[in-house]
Amino acid sequence: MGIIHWLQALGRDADPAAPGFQPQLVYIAVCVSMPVLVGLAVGFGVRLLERLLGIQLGKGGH
Amino acid sequence: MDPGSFLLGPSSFPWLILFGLIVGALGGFFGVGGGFLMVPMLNVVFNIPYNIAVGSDLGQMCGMSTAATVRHMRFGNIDFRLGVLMIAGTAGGVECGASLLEVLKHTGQWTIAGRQVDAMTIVMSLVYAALLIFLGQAMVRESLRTLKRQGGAIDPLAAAPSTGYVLKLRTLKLWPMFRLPASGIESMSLWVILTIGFATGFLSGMLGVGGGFIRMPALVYIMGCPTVVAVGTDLFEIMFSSAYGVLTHAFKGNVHLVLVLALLVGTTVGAQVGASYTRKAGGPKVRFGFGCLAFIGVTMVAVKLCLTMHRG
Repeated sequence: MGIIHWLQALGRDADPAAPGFQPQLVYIAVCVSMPVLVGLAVGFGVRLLERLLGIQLGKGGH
Repeated sequence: MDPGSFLLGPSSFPWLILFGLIVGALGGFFGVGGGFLMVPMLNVVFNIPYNIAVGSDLGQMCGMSTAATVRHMRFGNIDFRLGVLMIAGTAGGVECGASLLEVLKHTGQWTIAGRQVDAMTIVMSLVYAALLIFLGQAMVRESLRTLKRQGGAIDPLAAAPSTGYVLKLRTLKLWPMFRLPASGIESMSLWVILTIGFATGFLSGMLGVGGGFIRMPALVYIMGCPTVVAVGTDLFEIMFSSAYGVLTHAFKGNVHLVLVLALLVGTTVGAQVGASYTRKAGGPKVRFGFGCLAFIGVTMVAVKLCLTMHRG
């Protein structure tokens, strides 16, 4: 649970209710990079899995 | 509101993953991102303020759309020229939507019938209720009509209106004009592209909804994109608009990182599970269920709003 405590601590540092609120740079960076990195990992992970297993999960679209 | 204060901490993590799993499965099943359901339910079920729910949901959406964009890119389903042109309008819309939410956040309390009620909760609940009612009735009506017809093959482009305001927009000759070969569009005014981008970006910034149910139909019905290209381009656009939305909400302290991570884990798995069941159910039944789900959502938002006002 180390990463959860770390993320929670980052969130606590950002206190928008405080006067002259300025979020920490690391909080901003993690907010944007974490979802993008997880998305890229999932996207390319699925692609790698398909290649390894020799299957195709679908071409997208409705 | 301190983004780290309203959740109990690691003990909430499994419940948030389970919640993400359910919303992700519903989103995957119905073929939408689930943002319109996620934000009000985070408020109703977990009592998370709307500004934090919107900012964190945008983070979840950014991860999901990045993964989906990687996939659609592989199959050539993205019109990059259209997507890049639309980004300018989308970014402006996201900023305006997020700023409006910020104004609501600082509006404080309103006195209604002698009771003090949070202005942001009231406005956001009413906007979500209106959106869910509009969506629900449109989906239920359309699916019931289709189910009555029984068995006829449905071409998503066949229903695209070709007369009236839509045709005027599609053929508007207002400089600068762009050719979009990947979408099969000979000529389209930049202003139409920017306007669609701005409108969907505004909803994204204010409500945390991706635009799967607004931008995607707009790309198909207003601009005339093929459905598969519209889905891919929409996801590409969601990736940028949600990333920009997360950035602007992060500057306002509206992103809860633990919440984002939990939702990302839940929705990533849930979406895969939900999508695999869509084919078994069939299109009209899926859309009927989606409409009913929207009505359940509006009922929950209304009950929460009534309780909030009752407590004062």
